[in-house]
Amino acid sequence: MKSTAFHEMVKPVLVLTCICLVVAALLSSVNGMTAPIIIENARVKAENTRKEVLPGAGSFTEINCDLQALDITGAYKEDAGLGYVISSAHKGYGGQVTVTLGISPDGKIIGMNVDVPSETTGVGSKAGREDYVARFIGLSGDASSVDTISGATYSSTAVKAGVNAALAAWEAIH
Amino acid sequence: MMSGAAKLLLITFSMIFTENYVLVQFLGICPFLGVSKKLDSSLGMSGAVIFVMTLASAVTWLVYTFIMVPLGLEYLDTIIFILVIAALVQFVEIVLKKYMRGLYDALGVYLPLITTNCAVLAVTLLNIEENYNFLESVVDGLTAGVGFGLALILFSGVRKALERAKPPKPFEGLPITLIAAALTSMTFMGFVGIADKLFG
Amino acid sequence: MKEKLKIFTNGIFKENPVLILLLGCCSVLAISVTVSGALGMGLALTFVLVCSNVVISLLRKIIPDKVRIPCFIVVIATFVTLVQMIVEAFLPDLNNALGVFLPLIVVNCIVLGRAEMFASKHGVVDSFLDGLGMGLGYTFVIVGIAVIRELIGNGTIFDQRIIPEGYQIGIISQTPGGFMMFGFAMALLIYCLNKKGKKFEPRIGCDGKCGSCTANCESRITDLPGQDETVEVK
Repeated sequence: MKSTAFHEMVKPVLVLTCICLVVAALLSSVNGMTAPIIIENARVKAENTRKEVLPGAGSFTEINCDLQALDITGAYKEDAGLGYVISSAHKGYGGQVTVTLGISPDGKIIGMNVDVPSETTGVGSKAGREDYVARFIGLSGDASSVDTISGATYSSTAVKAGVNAALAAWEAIH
Repeated sequence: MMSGAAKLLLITFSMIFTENYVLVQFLGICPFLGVSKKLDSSLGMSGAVIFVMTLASAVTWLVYTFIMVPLGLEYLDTIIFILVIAALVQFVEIVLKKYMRGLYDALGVYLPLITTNCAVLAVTLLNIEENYNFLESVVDGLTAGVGFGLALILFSGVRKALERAKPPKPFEGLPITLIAAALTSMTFMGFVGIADKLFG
Repeated sequence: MKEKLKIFTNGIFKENPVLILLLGCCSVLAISVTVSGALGMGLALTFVLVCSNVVISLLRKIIPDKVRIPCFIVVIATFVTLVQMIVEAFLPDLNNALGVFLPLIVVNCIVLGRAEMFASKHGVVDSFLDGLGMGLGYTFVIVGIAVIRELIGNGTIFDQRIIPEGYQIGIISQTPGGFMMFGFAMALLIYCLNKKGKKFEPRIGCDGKCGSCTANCESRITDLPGQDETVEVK
């Protein structure tokens, strides 16, 4: 009797618990190895994006400001005085759109990067995207002169909102 | 900064139309093609999915924010969420059976099938990825379910018409159903333009 | 030896998980946009399938029947999380391409289905071969569809331009194209099988019982009635 009760009730729980413990130990050790690499990857990627939108840039210093109030996700100043890099994220109907702008010391957009989280659905023409981004280059103040486009894979409204927020933030912090 | 209500509206519109789980994002294809043959089974499945998705969004958000983040266990999200969903579905089944017989009779047969419906796990994972707050997560789950239901019910109508069609022999059955799904999903692409005008 | 080979090739041809058993269609439709993404997805799934099959086969005498499914899910989810971490750390581009479909391998019916139907009943070597065969069968199909979709939809293969810019049909690499290409692939398969005198009626998801990946009601190839040629179909 006792052994059946053990087999019926205790053993399943015991086995499942053991499996969970082994799994947790295994995953936490692997996480310990990969987590720093993932963070480093994200840092390198952000650094590369900053250098891409501000050609010739060396190193950056993060600007301390109230990100939430300015509606931006990050603001950096190029150390040699080439300009600023400000990024801002807005939700469009196709997901979160992150816009990163390179802004010259006199407030003109030098470079721009648009990042959408998932590109598994709807590929769209890459050339069209680059063409659209190119329309923002050289602007200052705000982006109202650029038309929204339809048929894009991401919300051009969200892109414009991001550009406007970044430009407004530049006014406030430069 | 987008106001809260506008963001909820945007989520609702996206999840039902422009980011429809089935017809745009390819999530939950199996129940979509498997159940859509009849209208009543489509309705039952839709109801069950809406119910479980909303609940799962709420519960996983709470588990993530109040248990996993304080313990630093964010990297276990996949494994914990699937277990939470499995337990939740079992729990809902028991509760409905005991206290809400009517609802159980309508949805009961579909509940156990939902644990491995990838749309449910996807909505919980995407809520975290999008950094939604509690209310946004619940609305996201609810409207993702509604979008799933809309696609399912619309498509059951398409399939009814398809029964009378006579495609070439090799296309009979599943292949022509897939082609019909392609056309249905094409109509959903039209909503992208509407979204631009609405939220522009 | 021949037996072992049969277990291996079973998953690639006769019981191909995607085309014949119709499992794991979501990821096939969603990820077959680019060849590189499809290859990555196929290999990730193969890795998870082989590992979970081996581990479940090893534990099959220890795991009590009652908590069988939760145990399988924990084992599978572990390997999926492992793959997620490794891909995110070392192949960030692939991670972007796969998005949420990488963690969704957990609920991919192929993996749970093989655990329940094969690995929990067979030895380690057989389970390993079954996982490898099934995984490669999945990979072949997803890469095959991706080659067509990337070529027609984007004019490239592995990002190498084959068709000049401006001549691609974009819709093929968007959602409708996924459904359409899978429909055509299915029709082609049925056509070929009919030619060979075999009947194949694909039934997806056991009329909606997708949740029970293990339900024994998948579509099978059978002989057309009135044909003498017998093909052994298990």
